[in-house]
Amino acid sequence: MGKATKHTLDVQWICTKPPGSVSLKDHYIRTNYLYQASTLMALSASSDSPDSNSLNDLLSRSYVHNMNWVVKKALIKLSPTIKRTVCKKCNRRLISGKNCSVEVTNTSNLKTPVNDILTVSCICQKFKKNYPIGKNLNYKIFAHNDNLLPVK
Amino acid sequence: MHTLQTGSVESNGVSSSSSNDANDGGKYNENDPIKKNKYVNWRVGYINPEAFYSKEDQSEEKANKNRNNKQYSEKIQKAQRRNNTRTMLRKYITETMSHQRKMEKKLKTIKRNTKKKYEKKKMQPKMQLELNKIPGFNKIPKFEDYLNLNKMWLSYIIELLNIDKYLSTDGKMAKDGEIDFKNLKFQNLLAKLSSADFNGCLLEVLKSNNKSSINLTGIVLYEFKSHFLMAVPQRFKRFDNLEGESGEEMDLENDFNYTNRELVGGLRLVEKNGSTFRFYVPLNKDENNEFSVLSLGLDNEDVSDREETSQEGATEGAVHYHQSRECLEFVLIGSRLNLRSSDRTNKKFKNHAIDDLVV
Ligand SMILES: [Zn+2]
Repeated sequence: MGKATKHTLDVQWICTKPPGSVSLKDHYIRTNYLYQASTLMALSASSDSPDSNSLNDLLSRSYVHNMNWVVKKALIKLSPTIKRTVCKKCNRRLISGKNCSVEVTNTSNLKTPVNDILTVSCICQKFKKNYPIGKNLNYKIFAHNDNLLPVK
Repeated sequence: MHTLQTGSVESNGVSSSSSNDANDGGKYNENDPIKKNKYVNWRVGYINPEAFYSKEDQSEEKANKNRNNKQYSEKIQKAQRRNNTRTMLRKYITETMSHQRKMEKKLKTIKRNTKKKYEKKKMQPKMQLELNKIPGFNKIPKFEDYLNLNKMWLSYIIELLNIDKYLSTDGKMAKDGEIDFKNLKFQNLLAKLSSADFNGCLLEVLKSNNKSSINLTGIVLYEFKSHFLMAVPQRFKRFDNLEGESGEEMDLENDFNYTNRELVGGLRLVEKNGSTFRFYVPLNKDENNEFSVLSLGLDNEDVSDREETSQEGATEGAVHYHQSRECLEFVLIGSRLNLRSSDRTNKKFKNHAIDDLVV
């Protein structure tokens, strides 16, 4: 009987229909475009002679700046996976190997893997973020949780 | 207790291996504070941030250290705070504009020298320069670098306007039979454009108060409150009549037929107020499944070719459908867009206090 109940639960998740029309779809499309354009500009910025003033770099930053304002004006929310790839101080689109450095550090004396910390730091030297990844390796963001979908 | 011990053993093993890797690469300094104090498992794309700052900034920092004057340090801090993305962009634009003017003067001297040689032979001057080999031309941003952005923008605007159904592949329409474009509500399309993003659009200037920006085409790189920043191709003739003074057809391979400004190209600022713009959205795809707008935008369009499907949206702009070319033509009035692009999110086109109409 235990197996049967599990099976029925799974079926319930599958049966839920996605919403037919998304409200504020235009603004979601716009933010998506701005994000993609900023990545394209950040990738095409010259890496050999890293000028902080090169045009592509500046453009990618200003697109992200625009994106943040569109989100504020349209009263929509970005998912944290997108927010974490953007510098909060200089609006740079963070790409490891180009804009930012990604490291795992451990400050504890015993060097236990529980205390592993992932640090992402931007080249502007004003922004640094720590993620304690050692505590829970199977951690999921709240929005990625499957149980959030409404039943029926 | 067991768990703690195993953890420590594992971590030590990992740390030793990572340090070996770092030594083999020989990239990192031994005096790196991170490496000394903490053990590092792995690094992805570590960048030395000092390499990203120019020498002027470093000298400023040294001067700041030498002077312990509080007011001086506060001044520099305020100046650094003012280095937003926006102010940096403005600074960059003014620098490149002045650089472009220098390049125009350089071309002027080159032209003068070659003209003298031809006058001795009593021939008409002719020349074709390789512009990219002239020193200083690499600094000017090029139109061709931003074509990918334009392709991305097209897929965005098609998704926004919701005209996927009308897209055709391999010369055949997606739907069977003819499509009634008159059923498409053009008013709705124009209303959606009021909150659209124009970064990456290939715009053409039809009317303008500034004569030097009429018939310019270029890709919009950034939208300011009252100006469009556009990247303009090199060697692009602005006017339709390609006839010289003698009435013969102009030789487009001869650089003497271009003005110096047309040869240089680069960045241009176009005022929104008092000007009308036009852009095309293709309903057609290439062999590579990509949109081919470049030929559409840069060709000189015959007005008689288009089907005039709507006159309703004349106060906001106009939409036309070209049956032979399978594309939609949009005409926008610049003064309606006279807002910051982020402020246009929740606003609609104004229909009152109209100064200019599309006819
Ligand atoms: Zn930053």
